[in-house]
Amino acid sequence: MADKFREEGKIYVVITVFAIILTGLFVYVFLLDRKIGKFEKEEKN
Amino acid sequence: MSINQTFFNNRSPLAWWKIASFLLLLFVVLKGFTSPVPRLPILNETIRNLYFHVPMWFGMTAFLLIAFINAIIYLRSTSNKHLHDIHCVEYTNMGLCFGVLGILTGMVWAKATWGAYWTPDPKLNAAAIGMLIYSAYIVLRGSIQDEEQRARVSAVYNIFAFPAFVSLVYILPRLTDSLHPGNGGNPGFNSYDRDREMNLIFYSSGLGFILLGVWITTLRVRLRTLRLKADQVAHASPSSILDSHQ
Repeated sequence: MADKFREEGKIYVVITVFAIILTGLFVYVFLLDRKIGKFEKEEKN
Repeated sequence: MSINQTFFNNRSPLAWWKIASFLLLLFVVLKGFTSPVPRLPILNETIRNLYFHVPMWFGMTAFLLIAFINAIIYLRSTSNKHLHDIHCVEYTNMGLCFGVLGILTGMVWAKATWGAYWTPDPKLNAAAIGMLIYSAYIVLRGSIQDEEQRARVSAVYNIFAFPAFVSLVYILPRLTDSLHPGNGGNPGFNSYDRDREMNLIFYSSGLGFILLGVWITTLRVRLRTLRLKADQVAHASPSSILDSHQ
């Protein structure tokens, strides 16, 4: 199905797009985690 | 920050299981589209959806199970009950999210292989009904104002909802005719269709998505707890305007 894609090396476009979306999602969740951590620290003090 | 604080504290953004979640899903994305797969009739390369569609359902079931357990613990515990109620509702929310994604990914797969986005199939309808059951849980929570009553009633509902969900989605379709793989006399994706590498990617995806869901749920729980505390300080009363919708 996607063999032509692979022959032409275009499969790496698909993989890169996915990897960017995945990393972006994780960076967002990571930053959210840090922000909540900061709030919790403030709350404790 | 010591190693202990960074990697083994569950509240740290770099907790080991959070990093594991990212690495597992990155592995799935990088390998999932290039690793060789058996080219079965009709399915062809769409079998790669196995790495995404099924983990959505595994994730949903895992989160609903955790919500179910929290509901039981809530009803049984005498102290610190509200924490279990918060966990129950947030894991159910996560389960619903994953369920929606599971249905959407399934619909795309169905269109490609069966020719239609939806069929009158026991498995599909059971999945939809399961989603409706838990949506009713959310509506139920929204309809009760008193916090403790809301928690109690919804915990009982959750305890009934989970076995119903499992029976509908996993048991019923196997007892009758179904087009869905693994049900109604169809073989599931077993060792004839999945080799070692597919298995590796498949289970990595399952675990990775479950860990991601747990991460997001714990964030939501922490946020809710913070909000509760802030409201307690502000209004000097346990109930809160912000929480009254759930």
